[in-house]
Amino acid sequence: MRNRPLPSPQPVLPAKRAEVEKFLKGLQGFRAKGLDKDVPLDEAEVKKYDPAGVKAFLDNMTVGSQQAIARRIMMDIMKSPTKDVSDKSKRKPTKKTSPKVKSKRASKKSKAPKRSVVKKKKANRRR
Amino acid sequence: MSTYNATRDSEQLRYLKVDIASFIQRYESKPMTSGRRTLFLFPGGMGTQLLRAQTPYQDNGTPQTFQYDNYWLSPLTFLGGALFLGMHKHGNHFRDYEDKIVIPYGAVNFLGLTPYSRFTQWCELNDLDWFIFGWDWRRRPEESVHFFFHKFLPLFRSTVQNQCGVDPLQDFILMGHSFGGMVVKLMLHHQDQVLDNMTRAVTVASPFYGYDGQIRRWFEGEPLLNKIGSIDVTAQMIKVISSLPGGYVLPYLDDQTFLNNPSLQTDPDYPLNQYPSRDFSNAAQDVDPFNPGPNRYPTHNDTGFDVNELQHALTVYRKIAAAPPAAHASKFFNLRGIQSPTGSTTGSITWSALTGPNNPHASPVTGGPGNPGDGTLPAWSARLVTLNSNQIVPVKGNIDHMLIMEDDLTHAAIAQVL
Repeated sequence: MRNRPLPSPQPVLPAKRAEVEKFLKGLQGFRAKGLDKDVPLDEAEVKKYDPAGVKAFLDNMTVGSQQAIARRIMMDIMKSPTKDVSDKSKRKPTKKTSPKVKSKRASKKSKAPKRSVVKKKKANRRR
Repeated sequence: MSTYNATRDSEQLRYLKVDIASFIQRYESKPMTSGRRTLFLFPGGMGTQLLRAQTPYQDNGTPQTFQYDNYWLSPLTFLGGALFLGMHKHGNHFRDYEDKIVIPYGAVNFLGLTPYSRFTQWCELNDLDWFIFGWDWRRRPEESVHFFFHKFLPLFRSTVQNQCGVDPLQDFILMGHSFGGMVVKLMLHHQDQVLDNMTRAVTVASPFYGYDGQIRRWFEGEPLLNKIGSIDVTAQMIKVISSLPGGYVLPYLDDQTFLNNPSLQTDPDYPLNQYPSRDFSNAAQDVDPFNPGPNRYPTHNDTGFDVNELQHALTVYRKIAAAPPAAHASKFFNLRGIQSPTGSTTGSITWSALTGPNNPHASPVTGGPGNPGDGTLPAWSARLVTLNSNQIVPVKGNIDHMLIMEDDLTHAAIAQVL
């Protein structure tokens, strides 16, 4: 089959591991207050995290940096647990796409399945 | 009378109906020309979103529906949610932790990023009618195969036929990324007439001969999930991972498969020169992850590791590693990724015997030197060695295992085999 390559640029580069660590540390600061290392984790308790705090935390990031973080997490979650191979990420500074753009994270609750329809723009471009 | 398994299936189908409706919308937005092809993409392991019911299933035989939260992958995952994705045996089947049904739904989407959005855009541009089939990577892969053929496809076909007046399975492609490719390979062994209409089965970065990551998770957990702030939950995480039957087909190949495939060692580009799992103190001794001998894995009481499941997984794994059935062999293609510069990927392990309970912070498994590969899978694992060389396509460049489907280089390689 003849290949028609995408005109859009490749996705953002992954964040550095140190940036992911900082991100997780920040995110986990909004964990449920009742969690305690000496008590077995309780699901109802875990779900009592601070969603408004998480939202504000994510809203404070640019879309570009969120995606760089997500990219690094997705890459690393599949790798060997212990890092044997050195972190070779050479991330160039990326332009901020827009300051304080609202987070695109999936909503926590999904009462009814909904999917966005395909954008007409894409179909037009395809033709 | 409703059962846990039947309820889980019907809940998955309830969500899939939404995706079928989206497929139809996309389908009808294009001119109704002949020769259209449907492409089913099976995401990689951990690449499908998992929704967990808010309330437990009631064993009273009544039909039940649930509301769900996204446990994989969302901020909740990193706030302790991942610890509730374990499974437990119930008779001959597995159920979800505390009987709260978990269903797969589409590709993961974390902070607005999915591993397949550019791929689906590429499909649009190249006139392929795509459908992402989310599957539960925690469960035995053969269960996803059965669900696909016996539950999903009949519904998909009849719904599209009723609404569009065409058969969406007159020419279709099965494509699997990573673990999803192993599910696709299993599908080729499924006896079903609908496979006569399958014109291509393509795997991208699939671990036909395993990888080190799964073995190490049984000892070390998952670093990104082992802590919730200052709380160390590594031991709980290991128990969750050990409870998931899906992962038991993913360790390095068994000794017999290695011996039965001497061509693994003679691959001109990426040979597997020796068995990849060896004893730490005696390098001449193989340690077959499917049959490693005493004191290699933690006991069931310690971490929940299940040697019976490992034996079950071996029979499934051998089917995955076997040559494809003759009827489909010429339609089967494997793409494998090789990062440049090469040598970025762990390609072997050494393994010490345990002298007591597992200590997650002192793993008995150590990774060997870097090999050519995609950053996760060594290149020698990512294709079926019995396949003709012209059905194995390398994807070389600045690629990475989890996001390989998003890369222009991969798209070009896929076009080459379609």
